[in-house]
Amino acid sequence: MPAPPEATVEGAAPAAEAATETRADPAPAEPAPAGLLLPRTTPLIIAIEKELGSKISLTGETFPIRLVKAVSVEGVEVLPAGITGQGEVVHAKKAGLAGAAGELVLAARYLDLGERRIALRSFRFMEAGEIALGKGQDNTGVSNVTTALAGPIGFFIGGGNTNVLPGTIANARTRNDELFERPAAQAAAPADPQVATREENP
Amino acid sequence: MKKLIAAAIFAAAAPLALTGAAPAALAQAKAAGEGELTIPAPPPGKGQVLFYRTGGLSGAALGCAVFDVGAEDKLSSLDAGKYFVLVSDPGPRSFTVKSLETKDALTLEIEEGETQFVRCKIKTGFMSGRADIGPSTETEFRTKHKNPKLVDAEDMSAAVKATNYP
Repeated sequence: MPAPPEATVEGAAPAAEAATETRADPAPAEPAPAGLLLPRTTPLIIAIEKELGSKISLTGETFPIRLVKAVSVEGVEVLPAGITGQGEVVHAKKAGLAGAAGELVLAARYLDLGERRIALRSFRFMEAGEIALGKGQDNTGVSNVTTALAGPIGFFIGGGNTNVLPGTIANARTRNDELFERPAAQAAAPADPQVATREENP
Repeated sequence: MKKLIAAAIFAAAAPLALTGAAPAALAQAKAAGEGELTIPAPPPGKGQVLFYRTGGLSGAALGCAVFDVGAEDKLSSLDAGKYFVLVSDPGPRSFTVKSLETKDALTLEIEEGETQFVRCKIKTGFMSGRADIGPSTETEFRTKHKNPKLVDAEDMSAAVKATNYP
């Protein structure tokens, strides 16, 4: 994974920090940052573009992802919906005997914006399906009770696998501060400094 | 004879009376919100993992010893109803639990400033129970672990102990 654009991120540091330094000669006031800063850990909504599952996926396998909602800074769209990137299967384990559930741990790695790579972190399934998609049906309790009542037959009760279909929506966050060029028309009069997301049009 | 009959009636009615009173007592405890565990944020630049094991009779006599994969010294052991927090550098990290018959492993992507959850269960084995760890969530932890208790200090490695018993 290429290193994030450190130079441009440093350039985005607040001007106030530089202004507190004591200088011998009076310098003109620092201009406002020319770029648009997308802060680290900005939440993103992404879609998984490949079928994954605790039974069919392998640890280390990569899969395509897509940005579902465009991201804007100060009213300027910096990450358009539909850009693609890559995720990785961090851990996959098939369901097993004695009711053990299948397990699937995923990570979002990056999105490609032209030739630029936006590093991602903090992959999460959307809350409603978080438990169901990260883990299959857990039958450990059923297996234990069956073993207690009917002997070793309970050992042969299996758990359920988890399956993630293409198009499944998930959350991720930007890993680094990202600086984007401000459009010429906006450079003179910057808008409100806010980050917003807009859903991709079908 | 009357005393004997009265005692028999009382003995028969007592379980019903207790059963009726129990939900009310539980509801009061929930309403009070006592025992709600507050999980501190990890230190700056670090992430953390909360390992837990719910209570219950199955496998209650067995511990769930958690190791880093490849390490000989355990991070800590989870008895029924216990939990501990492991502070870690961000990045992938693999854990394993060992039992007499088998072992189980789990890899997580630890992220700076975040807390992840891992649940240990004891499942059925041929000769003894088998420890099994899997990914979990805070929702599952709070739902299924009503009265979590911290693992005893002597069951922790020095690093884990420093985090949980500062």
